[in-house]
Amino acid sequence: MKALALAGLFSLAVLPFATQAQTAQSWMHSDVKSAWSQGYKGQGTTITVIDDYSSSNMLTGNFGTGTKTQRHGDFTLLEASMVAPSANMRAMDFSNAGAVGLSNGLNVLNASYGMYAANGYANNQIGWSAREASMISYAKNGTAVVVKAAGNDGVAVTGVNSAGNADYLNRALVGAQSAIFVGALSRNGSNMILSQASLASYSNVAGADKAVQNNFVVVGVDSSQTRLQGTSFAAPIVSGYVAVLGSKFTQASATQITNQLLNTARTDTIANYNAATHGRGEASLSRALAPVAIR
Amino acid sequence: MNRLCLIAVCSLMFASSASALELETSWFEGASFLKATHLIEMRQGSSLSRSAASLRNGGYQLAGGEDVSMRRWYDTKWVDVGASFMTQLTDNVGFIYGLSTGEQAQKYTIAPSLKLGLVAQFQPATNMVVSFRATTLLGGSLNEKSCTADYGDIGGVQRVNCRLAASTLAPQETLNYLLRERPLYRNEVSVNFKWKF
Repeated sequence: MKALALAGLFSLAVLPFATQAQTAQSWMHSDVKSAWSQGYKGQGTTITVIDDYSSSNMLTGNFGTGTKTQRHGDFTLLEASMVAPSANMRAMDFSNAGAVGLSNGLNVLNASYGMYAANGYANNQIGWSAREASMISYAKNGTAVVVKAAGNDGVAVTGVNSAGNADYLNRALVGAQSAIFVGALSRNGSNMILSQASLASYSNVAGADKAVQNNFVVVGVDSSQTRLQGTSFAAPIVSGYVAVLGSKFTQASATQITNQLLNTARTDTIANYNAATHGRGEASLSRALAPVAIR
Repeated sequence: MNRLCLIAVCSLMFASSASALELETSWFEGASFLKATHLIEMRQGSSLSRSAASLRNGGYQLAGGEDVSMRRWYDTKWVDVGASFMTQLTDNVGFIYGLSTGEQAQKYTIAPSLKLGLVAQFQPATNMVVSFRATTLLGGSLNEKSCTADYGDIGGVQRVNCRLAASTLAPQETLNYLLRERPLYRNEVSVNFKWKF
């Protein structure tokens, strides 16, 4: 069977990025605001956002810093940096197909994109570039946390969309110990019965595969506030959460932090929760930061 | 005749200090100890009690969603109570002393305290009295105790500040915010001038 090569198109280096000021925005979950009011410190972690920083495709949106028209990567990088303002931020353009470099301390790789090809190939038929190969390896080995946007086709993470294509990067990350798939709720959830959130209509779901369900969470993406929608903007929120956790639990591994976020996800904030749709539930920063018991 | 003029103020529920007390007998001049001794201050609560009371507010949820209220650790059934006395030693000199009970809850203590001091007066002119008072407080400090938190696989069992266990601060760092306070005015010196005309 012919190997399927999936690679980026351009060649650019890792781009510098200025750290964002700490301002709580209305689209953020209240957990983030609470964390900041306690004097958040996100140092010691690195978030690398692999995305588009150079194409001519532009989006318009507002994360609270003013309406901007910029590239997809500019928005996902901005969003992650707003949730984790003291993390080291690195932007890696799609044009760079080289292996993702890691820094000292906890590394979080944000992948708000998919690698699509016609359904029907086995995972081992895919000829990954050094970039995706490194990401998959990091996730399988627990070397870095890989936060992957679930996708916007309204199908299972490993499923086939209406065009007959599958996201092979999703499929490659199934079962990886430090991979997190992130779906989108229409807004932040609440445990008040009438305020529970529902899955966004476009969001991919966990599906029947238990290995996916175990590593799948959802977060609110309120496009009415930001004018941006998609699981692309769910993943950076979770990337920020991972960085916050990493700055508190400085000795924890990528896998331990992944498991903490997965194990503390909430199901009571989601309307009609079920694992095949919502995986572990809505990621909860406050619960992930809290102890299991105290006396 | 030089007389020691100290007005005793006996108050419940708030602190006050003695300035001038009308006394008729002194201990060194043969009066009984009880006759020469006067209650000059009585209080319930202190600035440290108020600091401790502010810790009772709020709480957080554990990783599993259980609510943790600060009240269970910082509520107390007994608020610090203190009393001070003055025993007139001579016509113009008095000895001040006092005790407080301290208070405690599961996660803090306010130690008992001992107050010692002197008050003296002189009359520079007819109808004028100048009195000096100096006191010092021993003990009475507030100390907050830590909690033991189990963070599970991600962080293990660690000693933490009970109030900040679920914050973004690293567990070890939260210990820097344990409350350790001494009474606000440990040493006091006052001068009182009274002129009747």
